[in-house]
Formats: sequence, structure tokens, C-alpha cells
Amino acid sequence: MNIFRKPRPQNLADWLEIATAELAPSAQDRICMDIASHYYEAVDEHERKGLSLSASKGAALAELGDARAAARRFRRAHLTEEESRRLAGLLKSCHPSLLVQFGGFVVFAELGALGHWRHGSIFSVVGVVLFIVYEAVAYILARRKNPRSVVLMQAAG
Amino acid sequence: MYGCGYMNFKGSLTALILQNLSRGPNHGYRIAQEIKAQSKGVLDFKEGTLYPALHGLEGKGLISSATREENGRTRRYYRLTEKGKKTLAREREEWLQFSGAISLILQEA
Repeated sequence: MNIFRKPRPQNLADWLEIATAELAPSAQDRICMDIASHYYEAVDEHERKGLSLSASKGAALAELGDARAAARRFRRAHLTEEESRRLAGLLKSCHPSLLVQFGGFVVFAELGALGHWRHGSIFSVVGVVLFIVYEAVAYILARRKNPRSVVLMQAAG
Repeated sequence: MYGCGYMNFKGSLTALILQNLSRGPNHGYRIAQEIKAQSKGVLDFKEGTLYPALHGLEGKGLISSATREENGRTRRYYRLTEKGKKTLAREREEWLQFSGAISLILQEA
């Protein structure tokens, strides 16, 4: 969905649709809950000050600000659906490094049994290093966005 | 009223949120209202700025959050972490130094 083609939001649902466009479902849920809670607090406050329900909703919606600008800011704090898919893919790519590591140990054991300990050690070390590098890159990418993506990674793993 | 550009100047929105939470857990709506009231309406910002900032601070581990049911409404309360307390102390010191330096220059006129 191109949020720049969407008309100006007329109600909370429209605003949230623009502000959370393309974000991962977990991020959308979180933002919708926070903003909706805030919006209804603001509506209540305006009603207490004497505005009609309709005017209160209009004022509360205006206070939320530009939904497109909010969407840009939320994308800096949360993963988009595409990013979370890529992250899950990156995690899966960790599996070959685990295989290399496991293979390294097997080769290490085999070569060790034949008396070639040094060659076996190199295979094993390469596997361990690859695994650590993959894990570190995946973690740093996720952490830069949101720690909740780390939870996502753990769930995907 | 200043826009979000001013609010983000030298990361002041971060400092304002952390300072507000240093007095205890608070929810988004009240954070915005209290900052506005304390600044006598000068520092007013749209909620579309506040929540991305809150979520970003949580992402950095400076604050944590938990939901609570109150009067039939679910509210998310934010709380300052130990890391957040250290960051606030640093931000406060930097801001005082920075604003002091600007004041020194402007007072010359």
C-alpha cells in the first residue's frame, strides 16, 4: 500500500492504517493498542471540557498529527513485514554454518583418529567462527531496530 | 508551539521523556500532558512523534513497559530502566552545558 496515495484520514482506523502500513503484524498490534488508548483518553478529556463527542473525536484525531510522518518514525523503531521476513531468512542461513561446525567436528574426530589433528582443528574453528559471525550479524541487525525483533528471531529459530 | 524538529534538537525529546519517567511509571497520554503542562504549553508535540520515540527508547533498553487494566481501559505504563537513568544523567549534563553555552553568547547582546 502506498501511504502517500491514501486520502487524509477521517477517523482513527484510517490514521492507524496509514501509520502502521507495511509494518510487521506484532508491531501493528502494539502501535494500534498504544495509539487507540491515547486517542480515547484524549476524546474523554475533550468531552470533559464540554466538546461534543463528534468534536472531541475530531480534536483527538488532529492531535495525533500527520499519519504519514508517524509511519516514517514508526518504521525507524519497528521492523516492517519485509524486514522481518528477511531476518527470518537470515536466521535460516545460520543453519549451514551449524552444519559446517558439526561437519568440522566430525572431520576433526576422523582426522584425529588418523593422527592429523591440526587439519581437523582448522575445520572445526572455521565452523565455529562462521556460526558466531552469522549470529552476531543477525543479532546486531535486529537490535538496531527493536529488541522485540530478537524475540521474533528466537521464535523463528 | 514548537514542532517535532525543535523537539528532536539535541535529542531533547528523549531527555524530556526520561525525565518524566524518572518520577515514576507513566502512560503515554499523561507523559504528553505533563510535558506540555510543565512547559506551560510551549513544548507541545503530536502523538505521532511521542510513540515512535517511546518505542525507540524501549528498543534501546532505556525504558520498559507493561500493560495495566484501569477503569475498563488497557493502558501501557512505561518505566525508566537502570540504563535509562544513566542516559538521563548524561543527557541532562550535556543539555545544561549546551544551553549554558548558548545563553552566554546570547546574553552578550
